[in-house]
Amino acid sequence: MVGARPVIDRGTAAALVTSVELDHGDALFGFARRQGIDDPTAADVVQEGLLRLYDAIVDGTRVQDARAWVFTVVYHLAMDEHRRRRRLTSAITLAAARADPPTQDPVSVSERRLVWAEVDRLSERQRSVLYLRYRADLPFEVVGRVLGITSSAARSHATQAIATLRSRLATEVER
Amino acid sequence: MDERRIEDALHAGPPDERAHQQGALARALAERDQEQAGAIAFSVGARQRPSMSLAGIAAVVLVVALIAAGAWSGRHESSGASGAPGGDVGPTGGTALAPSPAVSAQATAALSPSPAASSAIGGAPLALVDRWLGPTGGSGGTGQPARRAVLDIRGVELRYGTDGHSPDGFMSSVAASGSEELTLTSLGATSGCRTYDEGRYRWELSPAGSSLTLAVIADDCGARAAALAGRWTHTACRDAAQDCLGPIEAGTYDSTALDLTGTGAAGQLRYTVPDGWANTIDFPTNYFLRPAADYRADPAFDGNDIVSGIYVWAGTLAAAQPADCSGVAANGVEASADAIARHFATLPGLVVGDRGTTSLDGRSARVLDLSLDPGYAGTCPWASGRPFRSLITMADGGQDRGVWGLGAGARQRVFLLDVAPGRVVSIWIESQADRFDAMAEQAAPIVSTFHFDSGATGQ
Repeated sequence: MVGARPVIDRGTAAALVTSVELDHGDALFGFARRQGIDDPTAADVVQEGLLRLYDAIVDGTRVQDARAWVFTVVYHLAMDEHRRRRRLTSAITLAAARADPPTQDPVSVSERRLVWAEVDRLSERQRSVLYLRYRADLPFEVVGRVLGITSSAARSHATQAIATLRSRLATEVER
Repeated sequence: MDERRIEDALHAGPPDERAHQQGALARALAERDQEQAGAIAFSVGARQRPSMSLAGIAAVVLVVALIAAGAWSGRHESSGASGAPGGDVGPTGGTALAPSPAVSAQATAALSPSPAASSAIGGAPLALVDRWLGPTGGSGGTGQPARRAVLDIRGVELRYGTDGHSPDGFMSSVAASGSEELTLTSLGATSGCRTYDEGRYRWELSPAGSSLTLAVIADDCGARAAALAGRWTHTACRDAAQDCLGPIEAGTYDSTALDLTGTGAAGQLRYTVPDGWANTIDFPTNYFLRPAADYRADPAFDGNDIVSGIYVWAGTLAAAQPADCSGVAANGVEASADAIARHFATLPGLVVGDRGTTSLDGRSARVLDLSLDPGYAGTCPWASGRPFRSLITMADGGQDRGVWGLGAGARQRVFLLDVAPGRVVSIWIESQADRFDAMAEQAAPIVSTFHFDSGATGQ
């Protein structure tokens, strides 16, 4: 029937959103955190993003790419929150006087800390692009959609950001 | 650093990035339910006020009726849509709507007058939805005895994992099949189970809900029955990426990851706590027990920035004193309790009170009281210019093993004991000086229950 909305029951909608949460929850949370908001607020933002996705599906909204959809919502919510608070805190906290758990990663904890501390010094746009492209593993096309820019602009931001990091980290090592 | 290395670091993420606490949608929906329930409760309460006008009473009664109708309608619609008549929702039904335990009790109590009504939501009972650390009797289908087991009850779904592998074993749907009874149905042929293998379990929660006991009634899948039966402990770790226990009820608990002896076995530390304590870290290198109130109030994301409580370090080595305070073992100090105690006495700026030896779990422990000399000005990069003295580093800490030390204004009591050749365990009772005596009094009875075991004992 023309104009009829697809009927998706609440259980199915919840299952769909839960699956998005299981697969992308960590990246969504980390992405929200890197917008400069604190842990509890980031958790609220992710929760709200998932709830909106659920409501949208139940409401019959055609969500083509749930992952991109929820990243976009989380981005906007985080930015709103950020603008409201007008403050940017570093997401990096240096652990003092306690050991990090052993890691299997080939990149050392120190290197990761160093790189991400520099990421926090980049512009908001570059920071977001790097997080979405590398940490959340989204293709540039989706990164662009989430941030409301073209995929080539997203790629360009990433290239510039990596170049900046390389230059700053080279200086860091020389010091 | 080259581009490849930078990209690898970006992929790996910030080292201290906190994980998302799964179940956000469930919590959001529970909060929404709770808001509706709260509106009902408020309205009912207001109705009982004697000074309220008749018109007001009528208005409130109308609001209550409308909200109650909406709530009923919502539940009716939900179960009807799932295709399960009579409100019994199947495995893929409304259970994903299950809120987390903390929220659920209130929400369910307000909307559902009886336990039977609450279980009609489907899936696992709300109080069970979360992560549990558990018995290590099963292998998770790997054929090897497990050292560490986690059970994720996610509403409609249950998953089991061992030894740090992602929990995707025994993937089963969950349904509450009666009062304190669960029915599990395998969702695939994994971990020694066949698809649709069904198991029935009786469950029992401790009074505060932090301990879950599962008993097998019957299970088509023997491997699942072996793995799930036993006592599981709720993980309420503030660091969602870790499986520390968080605040715990009075009782006896085992560590899981802590590796005192270097054997990798689970359950190497057993202890008994009264109410009011929290396990805040359980890593191979360290295990922390802190007053639950301090843990909850701590400003750090993982609740471990403020030092107050009992701190256990495995593979303790005396720390060298480089200017950058990096975790380097002191040259010429052997890994023994006596040698480390003697070394502490030689450190400038450290005030050492020798309390002799005591017996812990039948082993001799050297006991020292430590504080910084008020005139000591040495510091470390993280101490914001305040005095800090590195004391120990960890044999198993890897490249970034760090140091444990003493800051200005704090006091420590350290127990050093040999648990294996070349393996020293150090147990630190620490707090700010003004709280130290009270902390030592609270902590000493807990430390006296410490039992060290190199083998997997389960819980």
